[in-house]
Amino acid sequence: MRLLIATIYKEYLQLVRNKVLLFLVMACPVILLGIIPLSFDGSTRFRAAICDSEGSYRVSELVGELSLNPLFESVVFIPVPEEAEAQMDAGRLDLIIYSSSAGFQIILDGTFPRRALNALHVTDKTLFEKNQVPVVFHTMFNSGRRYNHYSLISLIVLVITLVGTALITLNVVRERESGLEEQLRSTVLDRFVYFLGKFIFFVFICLFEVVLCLLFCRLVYGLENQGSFANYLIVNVVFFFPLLGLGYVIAAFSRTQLQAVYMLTIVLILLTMLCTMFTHLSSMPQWAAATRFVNPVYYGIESSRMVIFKGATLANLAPMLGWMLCLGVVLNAVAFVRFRKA
Amino acid sequence: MRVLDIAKKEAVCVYRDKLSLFILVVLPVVIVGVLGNVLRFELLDLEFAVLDNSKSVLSRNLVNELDQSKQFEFAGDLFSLSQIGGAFVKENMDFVMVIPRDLDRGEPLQLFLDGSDLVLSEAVMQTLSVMIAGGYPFEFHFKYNAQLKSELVPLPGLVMIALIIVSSIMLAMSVNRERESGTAKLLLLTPASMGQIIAGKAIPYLVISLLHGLSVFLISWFMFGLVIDFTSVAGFFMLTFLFSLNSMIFGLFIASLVKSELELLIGCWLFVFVPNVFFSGFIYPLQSMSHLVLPVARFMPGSLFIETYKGLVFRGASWDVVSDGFLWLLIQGVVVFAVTLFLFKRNFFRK
Repeated sequence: MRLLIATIYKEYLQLVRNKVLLFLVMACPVILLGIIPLSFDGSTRFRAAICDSEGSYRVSELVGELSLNPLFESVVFIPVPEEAEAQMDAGRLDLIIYSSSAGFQIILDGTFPRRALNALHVTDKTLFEKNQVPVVFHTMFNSGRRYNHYSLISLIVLVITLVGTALITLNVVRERESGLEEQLRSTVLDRFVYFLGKFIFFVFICLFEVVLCLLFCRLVYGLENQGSFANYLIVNVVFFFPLLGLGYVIAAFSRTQLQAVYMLTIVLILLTMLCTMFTHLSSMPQWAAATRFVNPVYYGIESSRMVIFKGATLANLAPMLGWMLCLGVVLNAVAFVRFRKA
Repeated sequence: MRVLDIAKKEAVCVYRDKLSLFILVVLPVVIVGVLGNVLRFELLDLEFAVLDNSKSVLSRNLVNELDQSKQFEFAGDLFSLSQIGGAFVKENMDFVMVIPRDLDRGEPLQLFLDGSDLVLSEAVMQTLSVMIAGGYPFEFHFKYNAQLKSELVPLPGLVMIALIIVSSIMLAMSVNRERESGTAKLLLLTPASMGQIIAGKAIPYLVISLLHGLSVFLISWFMFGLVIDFTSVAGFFMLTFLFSLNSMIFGLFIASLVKSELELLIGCWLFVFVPNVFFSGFIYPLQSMSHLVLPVARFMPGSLFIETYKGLVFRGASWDVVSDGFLWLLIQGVVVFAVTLFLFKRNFFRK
């Protein structure tokens, strides 16, 4: 026990005495959470052009209706179709509405399909609302449909994933490269205690990160936690288990820091792109959706969303938590076996 | 000649670290090949529950129609409004439809969406309103990507990510390693100047980047069926070359500011990689960004790359439209390189 505490204390001192690491732990979340939401703060602003070769009276009406909608940044009237298309070629227009006596025709820039479909939907809603079957949409769990709240949850998980795995992997590999580990082997320190000490210390660091991130989101973006705070912490502690295990595995299999960095980069990119941070499961091909069973980041994001937006209880989360624990046990066991031999 | 000697030495260094070499070669293939298949935005088999208050032929037809579409799958009936929340939390439904008693008299349908997954619920909202209304009351078509093939869309962004990771980290790491292990002192004792050393070290990595360009090009051709005409191919390789060079220079710039490998890694991730992913129009379109960052975002190397790539490959734009991108990448590269060289000369051995 005394040795375990000593190991944790050693890690603590190493962290506190390294200014850069301290900066990483304290400032990285704040920087990421402060800057990245700027990339999606505004709602999508469309730039539309209206073309009417016949000069009918409807044009001014259309321009008026569209420009009243805050989703349209600019609505211009361009009489010549060729000129409008040239503007679109140069990337200055998102949609062109041709109006003629035969009806409307809309041309959209398809290079960003989500945006194009959204533009189509919004135009339809603004101009042709009255002709439709009445449908009322209600959004539950994030009723303002606030994109920054939605993204903040996954950003918190992203920050923890980046910081957690980078810290533990580089910590282990650096001790090996600098020969420190060699020296520790000749002390009374058991390998298991050494392994466990690091693990416990990094769990605390990650917990600190989570609380810092959540506090920042609460104060700056007004993100409300619908579930209980204790549940959120429990979910996260369970999430650290496979996450830190992953960091250990990468460390155990790389000899130099350079190799660790490359492995870390490739693994982290795959994990973050294959989870539901930027897309959703039902749009992935099946083999890609199936990788979620071995992807801790997926479970981290889904369970955080469940707690923060839906206020889920531990009973609702039990299957996810159980699976994360299984993943964690496997990863840590692999890492430890390899670690002891190395 | 000296530059070539150093390039040869660096090539041997790269070649002998087998694991790193493997990752370097495989990384772009994995990123573009795997993730290109993942980042799609189509709907498939979404589950929905129905609370049917009308129990009429009309309502059953509506449910059947949705069930038979490939996007949606009927997953069960609810019996009271109070069950809706549970359907989302416990049963993991994607949306819930409440059919009113007087559907045929024009009472509105109520649809409950899950706001905890906004991307999904946005797509559901759009698809449903079109399906229920029976299509749009106007004609429309998409330019440049007529079938709205979603697998092509993330391609420029993924190529950008693959290039930026490898280029920014590779060269900077190798320079930093020499500095940390002390071999840089030996290199500086040789007759080569600082500029020559860096140029020599950069050559093997530039060759690797061009190989990446080639592999990415072949993947987009064979896997995604992207047909590019000859002038655009030349443009694509020029763009790849210029962009890799630009990323390497940014990596070196970070290396000139930091000391250890860990700091370099964090610097590259936080100040090169993350901004270029989020502010380049890869994940969120430029037009939805805050006005605060928009001016910066437009001139990010990443957004210059993506815009030029889209122009060259998707739109088949002429040279005068895309030349801006090339020019800005070049200007940024030259300016940052000058600053980096200045910093290196001052504090290469700072401890």
